[in-house]
Amino acid sequence: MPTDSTRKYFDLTRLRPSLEAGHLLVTPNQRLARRIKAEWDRQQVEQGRSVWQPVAVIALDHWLQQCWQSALVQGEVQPRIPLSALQEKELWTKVINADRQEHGQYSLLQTSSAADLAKQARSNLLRARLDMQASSVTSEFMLDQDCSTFRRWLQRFEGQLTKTNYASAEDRWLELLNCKVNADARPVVLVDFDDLPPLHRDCVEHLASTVKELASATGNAKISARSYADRPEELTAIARWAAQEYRQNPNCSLGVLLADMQGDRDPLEYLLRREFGNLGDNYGSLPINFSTGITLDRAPVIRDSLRMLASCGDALTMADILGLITSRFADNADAGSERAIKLLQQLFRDGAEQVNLGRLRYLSRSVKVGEERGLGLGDALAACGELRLQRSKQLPSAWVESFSKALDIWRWPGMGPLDSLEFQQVEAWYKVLEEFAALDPLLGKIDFNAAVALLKRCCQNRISQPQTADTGIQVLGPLEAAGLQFDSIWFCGLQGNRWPAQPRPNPFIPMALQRKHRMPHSSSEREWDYASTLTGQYRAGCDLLIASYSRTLDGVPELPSPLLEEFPVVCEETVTSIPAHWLAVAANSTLERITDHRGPAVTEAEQSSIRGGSGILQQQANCPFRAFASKRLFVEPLDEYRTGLSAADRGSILHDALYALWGELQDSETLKAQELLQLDEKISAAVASAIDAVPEAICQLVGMHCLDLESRRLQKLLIEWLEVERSREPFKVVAREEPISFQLGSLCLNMRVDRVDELADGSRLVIDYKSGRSSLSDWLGERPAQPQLPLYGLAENVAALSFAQVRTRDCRLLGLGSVAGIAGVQDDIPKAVKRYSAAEDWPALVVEWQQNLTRLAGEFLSGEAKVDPLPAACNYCGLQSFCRVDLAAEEVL
Amino acid sequence: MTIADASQRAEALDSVRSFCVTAPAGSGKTELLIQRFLGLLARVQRPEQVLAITFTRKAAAEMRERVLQALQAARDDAPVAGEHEQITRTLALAALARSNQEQWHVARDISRLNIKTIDSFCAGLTRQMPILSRFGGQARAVDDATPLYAEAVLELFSIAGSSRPEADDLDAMLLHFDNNWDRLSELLIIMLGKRDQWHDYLGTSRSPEQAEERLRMTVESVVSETLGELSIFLDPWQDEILDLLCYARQHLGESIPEEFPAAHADDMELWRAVGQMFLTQGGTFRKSVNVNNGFPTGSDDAKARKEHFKDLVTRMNEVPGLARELAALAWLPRMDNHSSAWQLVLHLSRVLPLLAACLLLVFERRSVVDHSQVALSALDALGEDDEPTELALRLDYSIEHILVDEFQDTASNQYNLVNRLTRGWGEHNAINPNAPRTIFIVGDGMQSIYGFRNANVGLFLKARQEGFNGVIPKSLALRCNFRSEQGLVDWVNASFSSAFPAQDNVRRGRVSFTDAVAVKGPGEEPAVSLNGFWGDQAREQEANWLVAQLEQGLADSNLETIAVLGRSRGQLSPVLQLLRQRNIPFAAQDMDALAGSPAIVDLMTLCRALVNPADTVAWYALLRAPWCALGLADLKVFASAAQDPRHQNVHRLLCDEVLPDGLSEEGKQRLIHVGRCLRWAMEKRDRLALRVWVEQLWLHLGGPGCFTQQRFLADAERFLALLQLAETEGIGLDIDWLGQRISRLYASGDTPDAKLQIMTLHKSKGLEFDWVLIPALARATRGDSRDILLWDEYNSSGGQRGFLLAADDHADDKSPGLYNFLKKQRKEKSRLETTRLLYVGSTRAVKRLTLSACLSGGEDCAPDETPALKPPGEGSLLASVWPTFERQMHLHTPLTAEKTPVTVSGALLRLSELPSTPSLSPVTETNGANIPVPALNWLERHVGTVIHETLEQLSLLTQLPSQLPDHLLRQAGQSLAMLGLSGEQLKIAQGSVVKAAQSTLDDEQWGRWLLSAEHLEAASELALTINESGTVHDIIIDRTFVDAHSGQRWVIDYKSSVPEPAVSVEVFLQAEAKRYEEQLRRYRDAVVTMGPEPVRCALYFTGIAVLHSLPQLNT
Ligand code: SF4
Repeated sequence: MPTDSTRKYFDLTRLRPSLEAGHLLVTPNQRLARRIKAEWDRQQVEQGRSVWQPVAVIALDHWLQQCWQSALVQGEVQPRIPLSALQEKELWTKVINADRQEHGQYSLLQTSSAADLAKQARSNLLRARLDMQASSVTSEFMLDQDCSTFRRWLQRFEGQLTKTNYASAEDRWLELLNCKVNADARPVVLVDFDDLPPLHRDCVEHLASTVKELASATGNAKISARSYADRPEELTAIARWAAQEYRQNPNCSLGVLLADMQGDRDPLEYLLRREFGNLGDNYGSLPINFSTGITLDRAPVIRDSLRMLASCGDALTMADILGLITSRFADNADAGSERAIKLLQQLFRDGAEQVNLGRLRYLSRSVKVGEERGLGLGDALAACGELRLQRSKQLPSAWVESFSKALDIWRWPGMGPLDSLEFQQVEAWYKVLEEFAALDPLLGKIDFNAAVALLKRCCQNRISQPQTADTGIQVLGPLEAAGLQFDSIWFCGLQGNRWPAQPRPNPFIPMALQRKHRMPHSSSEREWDYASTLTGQYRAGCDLLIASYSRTLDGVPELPSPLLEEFPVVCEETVTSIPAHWLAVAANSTLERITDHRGPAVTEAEQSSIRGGSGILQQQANCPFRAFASKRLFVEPLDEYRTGLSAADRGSILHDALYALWGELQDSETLKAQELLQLDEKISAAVASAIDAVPEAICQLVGMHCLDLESRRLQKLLIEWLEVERSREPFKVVAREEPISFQLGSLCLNMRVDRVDELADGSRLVIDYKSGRSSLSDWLGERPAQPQLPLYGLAENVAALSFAQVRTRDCRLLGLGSVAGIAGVQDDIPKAVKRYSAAEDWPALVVEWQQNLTRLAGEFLSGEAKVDPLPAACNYCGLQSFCRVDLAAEEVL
Repeated sequence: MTIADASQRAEALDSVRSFCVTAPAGSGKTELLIQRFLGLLARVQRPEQVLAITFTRKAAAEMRERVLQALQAARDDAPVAGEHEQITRTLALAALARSNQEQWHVARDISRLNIKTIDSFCAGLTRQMPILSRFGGQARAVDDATPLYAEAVLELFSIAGSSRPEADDLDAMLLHFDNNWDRLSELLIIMLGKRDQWHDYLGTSRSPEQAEERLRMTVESVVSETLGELSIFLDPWQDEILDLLCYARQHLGESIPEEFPAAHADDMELWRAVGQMFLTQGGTFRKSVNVNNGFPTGSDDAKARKEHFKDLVTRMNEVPGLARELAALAWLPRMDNHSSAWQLVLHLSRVLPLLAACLLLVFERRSVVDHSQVALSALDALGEDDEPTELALRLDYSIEHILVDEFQDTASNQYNLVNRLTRGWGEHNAINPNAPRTIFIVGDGMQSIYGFRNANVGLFLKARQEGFNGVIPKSLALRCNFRSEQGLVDWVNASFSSAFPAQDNVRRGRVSFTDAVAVKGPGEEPAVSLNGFWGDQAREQEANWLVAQLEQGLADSNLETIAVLGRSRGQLSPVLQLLRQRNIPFAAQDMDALAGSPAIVDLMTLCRALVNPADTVAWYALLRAPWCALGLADLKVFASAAQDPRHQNVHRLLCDEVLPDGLSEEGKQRLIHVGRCLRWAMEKRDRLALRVWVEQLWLHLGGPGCFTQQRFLADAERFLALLQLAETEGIGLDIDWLGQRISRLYASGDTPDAKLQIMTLHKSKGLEFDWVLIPALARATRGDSRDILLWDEYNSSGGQRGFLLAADDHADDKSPGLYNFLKKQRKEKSRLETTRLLYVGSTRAVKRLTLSACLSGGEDCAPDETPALKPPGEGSLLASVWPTFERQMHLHTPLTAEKTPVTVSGALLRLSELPSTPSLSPVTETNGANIPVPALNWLERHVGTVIHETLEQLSLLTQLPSQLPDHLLRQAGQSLAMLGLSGEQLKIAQGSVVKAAQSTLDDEQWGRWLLSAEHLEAASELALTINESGTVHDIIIDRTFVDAHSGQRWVIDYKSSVPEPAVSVEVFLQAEAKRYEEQLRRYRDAVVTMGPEPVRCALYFTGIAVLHSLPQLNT
């Protein structure tokens, strides 16, 4: 990478003699090697040189790899294929799964973390140069199940390596120890190593003519220790500090070390952006370098490509579908169409969170608004389906081709333009595919789901991090900062239990062994040494070390790191966490209140488009705003995800069954004449016909078994229900599901009456089936919550109205009217309506209904739309965010 | 200051004995724990051997801090104040000496202090035992596992209709719930959340049959224990009862028992007969009996019998609670296989093991677990009793001493854990009387208030009685209260001693009361004030009175901290509202649900719209929010702008800025502004961090200006921080996730460090305040709703444990059945816990306690009459202390003024001025698509690399061969394999390399020349660093040398490319030359410095064996 040669990177004073002597400088990591080289090169430029030999500084692992490669060329070591970290992990996973199959007595929730631990264990053992063949070592592994299981895995793993001719880094370095020492071996200087495993030390000693250790800096910077109320405060302080330093001197070199990189990186990045003013249009130019990024699978462009691949399988989640429809990385020309909305509405009505791809394909190709039909989405899905990936089994490299075809169908990564980070991510994607293909020899042929999962893991294994130009401000993890030099370092998160960290021995290696060989993270002592050495290195490499910790984390008090014990900790006071900018906006804004209770009246033209019968009045009664939103604006909430039949579906099956049943039975006489068995059969037939009428799509969604259960349930329920009907005085069913229309003022309502019975005296009882609990109070008062039956009551010749509550264990009629002798239908009107109305008799009640309902109709037509819900109206409404009813109390000016 | 329980405190520090310490409120148990911990440190080989388990992370942190302080103070020889500090110091010095001797560095290395919460200890165990715990490694535990549970239930539902045996059970349950899958799903989700309670009996390791068997046993045992207790009660009258019973049954024509019923389920019917004989329907003793009960009138004998009955009842009635016990017989469960209620219980018990297994599948799939699983797996890892895991080996140390704090809040998992950790301790102690292992349990049954979190105070009582694995702790009771002044302590003693049950009972979770002794003297008078309010406006009056009191208290410098406590927000909301109205600063902890904040509503609306173009409600909400506040008329016009208004694409309309005619000017401007903001958002979608994206959009819309109160800004910050977390955790913009997270959060407290604090009683546990106020004591929590599922743990006094559960069987209240039994039991337990909750609240006070309640009744009471007030409902906090309260309260005169009706304003809130519009990139500007070309040509790249390598090797040979030597051929293959090629691809690649190398070797004119070893200053793959006008580059030159004949210095770059079939070699060479000219120029400039020779640059094409010079670069 081209580097800017004006800033000083490193103090080479202590390294220069070795460099000039042509010694090879070996560093613990590449970051330090790059820094040293950058400074060297900068000095060459400063001296006006135009060409020079690359400076001899290299990270340890690279150097060993070079040595191994040249040993290979010279035939000193066996040719083995280097096992990448990814391959190693996949191989472990494979080994563990195979072992699980063979020794079926255990299961694992997290095979992948087991693979990580196993990988780490093997590496630790090799680094410690423990001979796993030695019986003294193996016997220690046999003492408990975790270690002995690992040993079994290890044997299998070694077998696989031999078979496939792969070798991990440690395997290769181990072989280096057996090769002839090169005559032209150079003197090696180990720079800033805090800790070198025996294997590496042996290698270096074997390969170098002489070995010397050197610290690149020997300063002992002052430590300024600070504490903050909590982590957000601490991070805010860092961001402010960095911004201030930067403003004073844009060439400053600052290091921010995060003890908890994972948790603090993102919040810190945000705060830095805020302090540096890089939240808006200059988002891309934050002058700060982060040593970590996100895993590639989380990069939006890759996230969407994985979604596209998932669309070749058999189901997609709703979240994926929404993601695909709104994706910038697909050809989504018609995502803004009303067809797209209609499709989504249908999917939500289906209620399935996991959408079957067959259904999705069908719906997205057939969705129609006006004359336009189908969506590009449907075509893409169809084309993906035709690839038939779901059933194939092939090598990873062949999958790469299939995947590329699928992505081409989606036109991934879209029409662009990509920004530079996305560009890098797409490039990284191609590299991942290459790594993926390189798993051929280890994994063999795999099926679609395994391939997609594997690809995802490959992406998770790769970090995407924006390549910013080299800057003076760096945010790093503690280990990464080893040996680096800065003007100032801020070390954040020095909680007592973070620095030094809690020991985390590897669970697959016997504890005694780990302690004996001082393996990484094996004991408190070791963690202590490690933390204090690193702290020493930081102090050596800067002029000022600010060390901070939070007094509480998530409300739990925290102690400072014991390494801060000798320094006075300045307790920093709370700063407000609300950004000043927001406060300013809030202070400069004024709010006003507008009375807005009435919308425009319904025009004649509009009337024809308004749907719904009694529902209109029902909503108007329950909450005028709701009626306006739903009937005039067509704003309806989407359904929640569910399993099984929806309440509405169940209701309509019940209606259908009763419809069919009374079509057969006709009247109470026939009902009473039925033998039990006969009746059972009639009910069965009615239920069967109702179930038959269930739309195919619903059958598929809920499954036949659910409908089976529903028919069993209905069978029982209807028997229970007919008990109620059987106990009634004679009646004849004269109408079922009969359409009627009503004119209320200028509002015309079209409805269907569930059933009308003619009673012995010729009067009529209107019945409405209900599967929920119902109450007569819903008919009464100025705003009846359930105005449907009262509406029927307005029709001529109706003597009584009743809910037929068809509910397990609670079947009954519930009504009012001027008919006597029907259990549940009250004929003492004044008593029944006492608390709600002054009506003395049935005709008076009907008149009252007429008035109330006409008024409601009038209000609806006039545009009355006040947010004024009946007590229970909001419970099942779903418009809360639109009407803001719950906010009224909070939004008092 | 005399310490009444000094000897108990001293005894508790005896480090070779085990204790169970009952430590009531204010008794200073933390200090005791620390002292004990320090004392044990001096006795062990490694500090980790002393394990202290606390209930919360906070408690662990505090304990760790105090231990460390004690050690550091001892090390630094800080002065001590007072006697108890001296004890601590002595112990700390001994611990320190031990630490120095063993080089533990405990005074600095806090990681060696084994003070943990149960969760973190279990997580450590699972991490250390990946196979035994079946975790496989570290698994992330999520706080809210509901989505995982839901997924597990779906998994379970997928077996419906299959041939698995459990499918029938599932069908039966689905039918029981009216085929309402969602409803059953909810219920099973709840059960999964309570898994740690039933896992032992009904979990994955059980077969359906075992689960059923286990349940039967438990029920049987419950029945016989209940009957056993009753038998003891009735013991004095057994003969009399039997006599009367036989008499009565004879007259009723029923079978006559031979003896008194045994305490066994088989005799259930007889027991019920006993109950019916003595009790009325209402559950009280019969005052008399008649023929219907089997006592006819008539003869002398009959009279005598009746008299006898009456007499017996009189005597029995003197036993408190006996009537209730007898009444309970009615609903004792009956295990009748023909009863559908019992069948339902069995179906459930058979399905649960499978459900638990489904959950494991989900955990595996999602790579996360819930906290229960961590504990359960840790228990698994410790091994069953017949095969315990050798823990010492796995941890590298053995746990020798266990201290557990707050044991009264123990859930069964914790109990099991201690049980497993202490296996073999009894035997160990028998063999090593001088170095015994010890347990130290601290708790206070009176403060057990976490029943809803599965805490089971019965376990505390059980542990106190039985200890663990043969280690029986000595029971010690602390009595001193260091916190409250004497007046308070006295009042609490007097009022609560009768409110608590008279005796402990393990099974029923009954805890009796013990008196405390005040250490402080009497303080201000009166220490306790009890206030009753009644009448229409009691609530408002109470709140007003309280706030007036508070205003005085806040001015009182004597009171440094004041807290208003309540069971729930509802109880406190009138006070909260008033405080806000009057601008009295206070800190409210967890009071207002965050979801109700306008900031959350606005931001959530925004997110919903961004995620889902079909979420019309959100889109319209966006138009109605203060930043747009579109009027109804404009909304109507806008809604009509669609081909089909039912499927309107609001997003598109807004972005496209084609707005319908008929809008008001104001509305139009606002829509345009919102539309531009959204277009900005679309341009930036996925280009900014999630938080930044939403936040900037919200700022562009004018979001921060849309609030009536500044505290909502803090809520907005919380929301945006959640978005950041969502991104960090890889969740992305997920509305359900956000909703769930928010539903568990509370709005930001008003003034965090105010003197006045408002919080729930549960939150107040462990805290103290100079003045404590608990208002609205008469409020019941919630209606007596009928839970569809009930469960309870069962601990018998005989040491058995089990789990009971039942779904609503729709039976009436009086019929026998597990559901009814559990319902009654739950009611009793929650009544007991409510009493304890009030005790906890009352004992928070240091100086002053104020209780108040709004009482019902007293209607139609004349102004100067004493009103007839009703006692508070059973579920209220007040119920248990009502007698005292009624006697001592000051009854405030009700207000009579007219109530001011609350009006819903319903008006629309609107941001007056629109903020400026975000800058949008002009549509015409195109920087090109900026899309990388697919780079799937790694085969060619690798071939190129290896050709370079091979040519380098060839150039090193002193004698250039005519054929590619075998070892280079092999090497090329290896290199390609190392680059990741295998199989067919490897063969192809190797072929290409060989072909290129061979054609170079065959190329007499150029190929062989450039590889020749005879050149001067020859180098292959020469690495150099160059300075190009201040910028540094690293380059590698494929081949360079000085041709001895011509004296020219050559720079050659290898290319493995070949012309496309349709392209002539000439054209190809020109194009390639042009492409690489810059690069070669750079190389040339680098080598120019190497010597005076003229430099020649060329490309060499291995595929076609052509050397192409670039004369324009000649020097
Ligand atoms: S949520 Fe309530 S107030 Fe809002 S529209 Fe629905 S019913 Fe009306």
